[in-house]
Amino acid sequence: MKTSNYLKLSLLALLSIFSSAVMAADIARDIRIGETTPYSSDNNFFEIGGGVGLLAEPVKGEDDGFGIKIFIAGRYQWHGIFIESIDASSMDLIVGYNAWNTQRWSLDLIGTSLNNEVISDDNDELKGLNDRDGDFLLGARATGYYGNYIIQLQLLDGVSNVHDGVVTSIEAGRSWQVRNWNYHAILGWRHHQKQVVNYYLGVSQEEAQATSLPEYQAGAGSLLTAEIGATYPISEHWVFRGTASLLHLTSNLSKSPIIRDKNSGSLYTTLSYVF
Amino acid sequence: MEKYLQQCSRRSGRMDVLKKNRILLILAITLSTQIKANDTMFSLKIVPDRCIGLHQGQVCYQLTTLSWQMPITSDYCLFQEKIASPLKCWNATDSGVLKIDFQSAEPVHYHLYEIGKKNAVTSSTVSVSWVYKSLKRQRRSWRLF
Repeated sequence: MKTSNYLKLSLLALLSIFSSAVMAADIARDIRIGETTPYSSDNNFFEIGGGVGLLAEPVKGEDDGFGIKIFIAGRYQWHGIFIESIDASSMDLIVGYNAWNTQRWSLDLIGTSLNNEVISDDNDELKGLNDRDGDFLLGARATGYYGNYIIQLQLLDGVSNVHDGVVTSIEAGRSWQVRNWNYHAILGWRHHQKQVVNYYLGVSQEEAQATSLPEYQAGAGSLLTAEIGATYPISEHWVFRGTASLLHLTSNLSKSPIIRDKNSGSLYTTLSYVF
Repeated sequence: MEKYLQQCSRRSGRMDVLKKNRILLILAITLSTQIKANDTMFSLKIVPDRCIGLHQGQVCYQLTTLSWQMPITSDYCLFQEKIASPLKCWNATDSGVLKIDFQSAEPVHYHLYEIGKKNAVTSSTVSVSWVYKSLKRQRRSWRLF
């Protein structure tokens, strides 16, 4: 049994850059619950939950198989300033400012971490690699609502002197309501500048000598994500959710000696209490 | 003696008060029972009477049973608000049951009418609530500090 990467801040559960979950925060939550309009300042929520599932990690040395996760998710907005954390988002915590809204589009200025600190000593296959610091990025997020479709665009720039790279992403999702069940599907593409990929997935000459891994200089790279799922309100406070997600790494990412498989994924069922 | 009589009188007075209290209590219980009996005789019960959806504004779905009980045998019709035709009518009976597939994004009131009478004899409501509440945003806005 292994604890989820939601609880691990170190360890190559690694690069939440490759979290098998969907990328963006907002769209993941909105699509799953069938939201059809931008947030209002009164849409604050807080929930805690847990779940069990099956995982296939892309990183060498990481445990596959049965997994347990416990999560806290929520959003609080006050005069446009918000803080949010969404279950199964690649960004653990987002702080931001809701700058502009129309009936269909919402523009947020956000700050978030995409990649946690990585301590390679926790991973037998990657022991000897230098630790990687967690990053912090600033940027903008635009979310459009078109009926049951949501599209989300993000542009984030590293500002923490960790990698100083730019990450761009686009995600699109659709929700379907069948009686009280809400089904959803999300497709995403995220591109990382060379600095980002190289910082986390590159292997320096020094590291190659300290490990059995070959030296690797990475270029810019992308990943594709897909998620399908279903959500059901058991009562006014309890929500059941089942999700299946897939992650595909393009060659500059998958060729890294740190990566085991270019395809990975997860299958989860969760139960959460919404306050 | 006088004292004794006074004491007896006081006791007798207390007894009267106790008797009156008992009578009042019995009357209250009887009335309460009758009121309860009448309540159950004039009832329109809905089970379950609350529908839970995921996100505010979504239509909520639920299989619901409406059962009614009247003290008098007559002809009755069950109506859903804003719908002119009855959901179902019963002839020469004092009770009925109807199963419906509830579908609504807002509370729905149900009324039982005795045929030929103007006012509903009893009513009940199915409420709708959601896990995730939501309020709509204004149409267009730039937020400035």
